[in-house]
Amino acid sequence: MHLIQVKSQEKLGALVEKIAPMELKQILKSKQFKFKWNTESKYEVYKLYITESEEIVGLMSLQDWPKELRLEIRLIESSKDNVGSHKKYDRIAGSLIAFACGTSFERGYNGFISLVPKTALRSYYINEYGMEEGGKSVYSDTLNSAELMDKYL
Amino acid sequence: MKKQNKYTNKELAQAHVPPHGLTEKQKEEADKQIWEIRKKSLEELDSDKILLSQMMRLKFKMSLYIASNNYDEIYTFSYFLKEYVSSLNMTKHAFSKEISLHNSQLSRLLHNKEEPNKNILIRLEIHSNKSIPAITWFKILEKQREVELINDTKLRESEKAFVKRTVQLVPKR
Repeated sequence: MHLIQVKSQEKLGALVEKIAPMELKQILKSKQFKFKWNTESKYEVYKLYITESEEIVGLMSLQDWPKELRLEIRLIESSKDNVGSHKKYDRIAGSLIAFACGTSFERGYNGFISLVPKTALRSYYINEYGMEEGGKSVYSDTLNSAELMDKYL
Repeated sequence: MKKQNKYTNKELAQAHVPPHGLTEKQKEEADKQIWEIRKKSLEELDSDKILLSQMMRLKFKMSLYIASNNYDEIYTFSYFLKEYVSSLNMTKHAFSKEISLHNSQLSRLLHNKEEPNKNILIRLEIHSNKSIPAITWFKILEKQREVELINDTKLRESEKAFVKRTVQLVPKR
């Protein structure tokens, strides 16, 4: 998995790992993230970090729906330096979404993932990540999830 | 609200999946809707999608192990090759024919009695329709070698005889 440093267009190795609630508290003290992550501790929370510097640049929480063989992406947040036209690194959200797809395959869910987007952002997830309309949700199934993994992981 | 003014929707979506902002009742409705879609998707699951899912599951598992700092003696090239053959739901004999390997050679590879050469790694890439690249198999093999080197106490003992002097370092406190 790699991110792109926007300024130099250099590829940087990155990793996703699950984080413990205590570690999450420390991350939030850094003020790089603004969502209410402390309310996500009952779900699976992952960090995306740059391998060399260990800088944490993204967080994601997942809810497992084992009876439905589905993973729901509850939240993704890029660190504050990585939002907008002046962001340092590209591919953060895409890498986290692809990681969710991989986790879905790993658990025998055939790559099925979903998320409930804000209305204004809905079309972007469809256009950028190939997601499909699913009522109030958008989702990615086997073929699209495999493509996202090939692109980002 | 400040954020809404500072960034465009595209920029926000490029960076985040923000909280959905639905009421509890609306979220319940959303969950019901997606469950209906999921049921339909499971009904339509065919052998091609199952095979692709198996390949992606294995690829993801291999990638996680390659990326992790942990070493595990279980995760050898043989282990993943067994998983690969098992994912294909075919006999070892049929698989060996598909990649033009003699049965006995495949058996040695599956039992960690022989290391694969580059040709075999590339044949595996081609066989998987590039879904598991040769480099992924190569990295698994490299990590296996690292584990073997780390754990080879017997070789360390035997090689001591060939080292006539060791560098004298300041004793650690």
